[in-house]
Amino acid sequence: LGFAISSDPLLRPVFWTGIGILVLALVMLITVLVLRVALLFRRSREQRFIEAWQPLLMQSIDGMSSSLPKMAGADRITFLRIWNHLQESVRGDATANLNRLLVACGLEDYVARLLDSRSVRKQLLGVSTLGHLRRPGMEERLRELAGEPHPPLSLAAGRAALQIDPGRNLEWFISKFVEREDWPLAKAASILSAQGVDAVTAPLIEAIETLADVPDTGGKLARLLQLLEIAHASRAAPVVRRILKESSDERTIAAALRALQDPRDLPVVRELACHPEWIVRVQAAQVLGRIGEAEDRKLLARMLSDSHWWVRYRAAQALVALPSVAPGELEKIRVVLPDRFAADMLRQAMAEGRA
Amino acid sequence: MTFSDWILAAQWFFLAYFVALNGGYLSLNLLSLATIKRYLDSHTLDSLPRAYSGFEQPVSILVPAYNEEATIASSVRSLLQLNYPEYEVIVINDGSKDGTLATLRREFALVPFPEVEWRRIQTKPVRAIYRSTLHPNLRVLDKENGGKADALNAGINASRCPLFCGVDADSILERDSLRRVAEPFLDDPLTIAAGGTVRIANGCVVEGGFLTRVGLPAHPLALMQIVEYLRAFLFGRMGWSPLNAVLIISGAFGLFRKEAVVTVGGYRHDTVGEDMELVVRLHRWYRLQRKPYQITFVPDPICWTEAPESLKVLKNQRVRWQRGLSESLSLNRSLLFHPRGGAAGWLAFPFMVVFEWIGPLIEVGGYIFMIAGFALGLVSAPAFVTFMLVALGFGLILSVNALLLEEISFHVYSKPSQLLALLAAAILENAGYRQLNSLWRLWGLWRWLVGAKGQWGDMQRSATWQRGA
Repeated sequence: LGFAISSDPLLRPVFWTGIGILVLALVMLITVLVLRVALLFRRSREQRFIEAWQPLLMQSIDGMSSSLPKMAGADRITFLRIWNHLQESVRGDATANLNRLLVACGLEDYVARLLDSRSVRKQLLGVSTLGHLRRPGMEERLRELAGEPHPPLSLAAGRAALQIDPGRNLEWFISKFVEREDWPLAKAASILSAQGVDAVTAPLIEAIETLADVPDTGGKLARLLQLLEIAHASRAAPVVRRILKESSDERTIAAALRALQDPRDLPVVRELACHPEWIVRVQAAQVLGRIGEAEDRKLLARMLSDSHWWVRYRAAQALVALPSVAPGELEKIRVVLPDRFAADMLRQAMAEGRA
Repeated sequence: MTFSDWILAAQWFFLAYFVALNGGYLSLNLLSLATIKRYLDSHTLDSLPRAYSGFEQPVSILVPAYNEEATIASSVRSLLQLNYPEYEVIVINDGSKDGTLATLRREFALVPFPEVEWRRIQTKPVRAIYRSTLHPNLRVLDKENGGKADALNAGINASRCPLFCGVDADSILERDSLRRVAEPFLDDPLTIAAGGTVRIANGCVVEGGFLTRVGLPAHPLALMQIVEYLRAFLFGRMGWSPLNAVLIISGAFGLFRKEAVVTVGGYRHDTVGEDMELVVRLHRWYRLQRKPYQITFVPDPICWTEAPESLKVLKNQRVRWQRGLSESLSLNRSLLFHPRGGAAGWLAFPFMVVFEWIGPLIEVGGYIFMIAGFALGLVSAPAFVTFMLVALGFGLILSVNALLLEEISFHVYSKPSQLLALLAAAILENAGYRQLNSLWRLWGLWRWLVGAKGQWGDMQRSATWQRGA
């Protein structure tokens, strides 16, 4: 190294940087090996724990009590992971039995403490566990966590609060969903679905009614209306009709249209089938396919010549789906269509109907 | 300036370039470390059993196929078994000269279907559309040959779903690949594209179109490519993701919002790197139009592909990649330092230009200059040693760090012997393999400069790891 050290003073720091890099690479290499050794130890420990506890957990699911071995501190997270996995897979008495097991293991306070952990991983595990445990007195803390900026943590906390006391927290959860635009619709819908369609319908309609009074919701109303798919949409008909009458936002109108299931709403649907925005027309075509009547044939046949491909496609599907329209009649409609693209589209929908 | 001043300046230039190049990658590494940790933390509960909500966005899987007679049936069969609530598979037979179409017709009981074409993107004519009588979600487009990009565009035209996923016919997907890569679209409605980590399947066991056992290849070339892929995906792309500046989503597996892609005109068929070009163009269009968007990278290993084990095939692949990169950057150069370019235009794009595009020229130039200069006595021994120390040391640190990222995240290679083999590859790839790659990339740069014509990838696959497919 001597020749490098004694060389150009400008080169010297670069040389030592190079040496530093090599040393750092060596340190990283050792770190990789150490991590692997730690992983092997951890896996082996987890394996032993699972072998010992799996039968106990299974017995617990079946309601059988057995004497529990002492659980080491390092095994608590592994236990909670398996426990949560089982909780997500079982229903009925089994969930209560698993809860009893957790309490018998003396982990209740530990789980509560996880919420204050600096690790999001532990917080999430704690939140999920508390939700299944339905431990009263934790709702306020969970509601606080639902206000955290981290979307997965916030949503998991919302879910847990809902699990603990659905009666008290359902409205709050829906209002939080409106507020938290970073809560994914699919995940929020999944959480609400678990509460059952009967429980969800009334608070959802109430939330829609409240939001419908707000002049500009910036897309929030359209997002909320989509949740009607997991509710008794028919019960929302009055507010949906009101929205269709009052709203000028095409996304809101399209979302409201999706909730219509009553043939008495056909006049408004027919009117919206001529809306200037294609996303409204395409929804109108779909609704006509669902609740339309034989007299809607002419309207749908006209829609086959729409400027937008999706409107033509949905109109063709709706025509095929209309009650009391026989295949022979569809063929008659097809041959007299003045537009070749419209005729082709109907032919495709007819073929799809047969497939 | 005297001759020796020029030599000295060149020495410092090359040294500074290598320090900057590797320093840049090291910064990306640090960013990736934090991002992967955050990602893993956020997805702690993902391993728990969950039911689909019914709000997942339907996906069209597009499989462009050209002369894939031997493997197309097994590939499609595995695609039909993915875990996702609503998706369709569209195979686009791009004028194959072998029996690809006949195989598909026979294996999936295809019948011609009177489907109305919606030509939102211009493509070569579609001769016929078939529908499977066995699988309602399988369609096959038979079209005139127009190249992979043209085939993908025809698939986009035929797609009936809001999201589409371009898949190479020989890609091996995990059963829940779609769920994982579609997650960013659920989490953030602004997401227009998402890519995932592609891993190397050589040495693995594949049964029925799915990977059943992870293994390592015996061939050193494939082994080094594993480290290389880890580097490219775990920090090359993960690092850019939080900055919304991912410029590459692999053509082997990527999910896109169809309307976004149609808006920018679909895949370009005059480039060999249509996958990267599309992503860079999406960035350019959305940035310049001031439209909010997100392009995300999912680090989970979701797609496996075969790596070349012969120098000739590997060389062709790298030459093609470099040409693709050159085309992607040159065609979208207006993004570079554009006032509205954001992190993509001000960080990722210049980074790509300096270190990936013209990088091979400077790297190869640097090595030749230093070695020749030292041999001719123009470069001093300390300068030469320092250069080699920095160049190789940084290379080593990046390779080992890729393994470190893998070790703290997915530990796909679970056997200790596999880890040791990868560590050996991480060290050895710096003594020749990376330099050879730079040379091939330089050749790719030259081929782009002289405007050589591109065609369907001529990758020769052995698929010796495939069983019962």
